[in-house]
Amino acid sequence: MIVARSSKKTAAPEGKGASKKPAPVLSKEDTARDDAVRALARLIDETGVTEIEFERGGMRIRVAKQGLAYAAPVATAASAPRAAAVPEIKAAADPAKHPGVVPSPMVGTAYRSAEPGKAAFVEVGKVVKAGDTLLIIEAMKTMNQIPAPRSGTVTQILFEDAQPVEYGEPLVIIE
Amino acid sequence: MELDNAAAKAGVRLITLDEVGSTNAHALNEARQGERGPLWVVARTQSAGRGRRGRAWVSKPGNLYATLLLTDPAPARHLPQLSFVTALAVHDALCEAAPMLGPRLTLKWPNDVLCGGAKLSGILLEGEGNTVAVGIGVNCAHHPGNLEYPATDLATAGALVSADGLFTALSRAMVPRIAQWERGEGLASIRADWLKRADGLNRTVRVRLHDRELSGVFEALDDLGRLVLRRSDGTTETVAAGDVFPLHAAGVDTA
Repeated sequence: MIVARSSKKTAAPEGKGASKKPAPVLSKEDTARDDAVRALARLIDETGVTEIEFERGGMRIRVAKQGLAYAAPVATAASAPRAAAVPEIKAAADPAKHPGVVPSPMVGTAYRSAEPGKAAFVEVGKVVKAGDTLLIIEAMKTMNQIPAPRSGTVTQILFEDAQPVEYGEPLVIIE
Repeated sequence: MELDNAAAKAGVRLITLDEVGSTNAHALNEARQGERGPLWVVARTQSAGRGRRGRAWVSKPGNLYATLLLTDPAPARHLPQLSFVTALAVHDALCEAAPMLGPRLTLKWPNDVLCGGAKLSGILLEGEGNTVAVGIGVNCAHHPGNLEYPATDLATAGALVSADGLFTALSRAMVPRIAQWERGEGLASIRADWLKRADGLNRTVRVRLHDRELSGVFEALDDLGRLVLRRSDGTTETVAAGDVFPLHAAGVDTA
C-alpha cells in the first residue's frame, strides 16, 4: 500500500481528516500534484525503496510504501464505509502515534517467524493475549522475542520479514 | 560440572543435566516458571541444540553445552551487547584452560570464537521478556565436518581440555566480564577488548544477509555493536544480523 502526503508550503493548515470533499474542478496545481504522486508511486514500485520525498516549486510531496499487512487498500475504505473499515482509515494516520502501537525496543532485524519457513507468529486479524510473541528482533546474534504488551486484535503489521528496524520504530498495532 | 567458587559466592547457581533438548530452551522454560537466575544450565549432550535462525547445533557428548540464564541484565536496547561480553568471557576461559592456544584465538563478529580461523565456539542468545538465555557451545573433543564455515575443536588444535574443566573457567570468566559491561554503560570498554581480538578487522569480508550478500572492509563496530562495512564505492553500511565470512574462504588454518 502506498501512502502519499503532500503539503504546499504556503497553504493554510489543513484540518484533521479534511480533504475528501468532492473536489470541484481540478486546478493546475492539483493535476501537477496528482501526476507527481503517480510518478513517485511508480518509482517506488520499480525501485523497491520505501519512501521518496520530492520538492519543487513550493510543493513538497512524500510518498511512502508501508508494511504489507493493511487489511484492505485505502481506496476501499474511502469508497465503502462499513463496520470493518476502522483499521483502513487509521492506516493513513501516523502509525507511530497510534495508541495501539508496539514500538521496537531495539535496533536489529525483525522476523515474522521463529525460523525461515515456519508460520508467522501473527497475522492481521489475529487475536493475541498480553505476552504472546509478535515477532523476533535479531541483533548481534541475540534473538529477542517481542511480546504483545496488551491483549487485542492485530490490525496492522508495519514491517516486512527480515527488515532492519530502528529503536522506537512502529512494528505492530494491536487494538 | 562444578561452578567456580567466585561465581558461587556471587550467587550464581548450576543445574547439570545428562541430556536435554536444548540448554537454552530448558533455561527459558525454568524462567517461565519463575526462575530468575543467574543460573547455569549445563548438559552433557543436547538432542535439539540450536543455532541462529533454526540451524541445528550438533551436540554429541564431550563438548560443552551451557546456558546462563539472566533476568534484567540491562535495558532491552542494550541486551544484544551481551553477545560481545559472552564472547570475551569464552575467550578468557579458553586462554586460561588452554593457554598455548591463546595467540591463535580470535573473535568473529559478533560472537564466534575461532582458533586458527576455524570455528571453535558458537553463542546464541535468546531473550524473552526481561530474561535472557545466553547459550554457549564449545567444541572440546570433536567438531562437525562439512559445514559452510570450517570448524575445529580443542583436541584437534592440540589442547586436551574437558568440558568440565572449561565450564569451571567459563563460570569464573563470566562474572567480571558482566561487571565490566555495567548493564550497557561499559560498552566502550567491552568493545575495545573485543576489537583487540577481532578476526578480519580492516580486511575485506563477505556478509550474508537474509536476502543478499555484501562485501566490504570490516572497519569498526558502531556504538550499538553493529558491524560497519566500508564498501568499494566509499559508502558504509551497518549490519545488525548476518553471517560473516572471510573474502576467500580457502586457506583457513584448521590445524
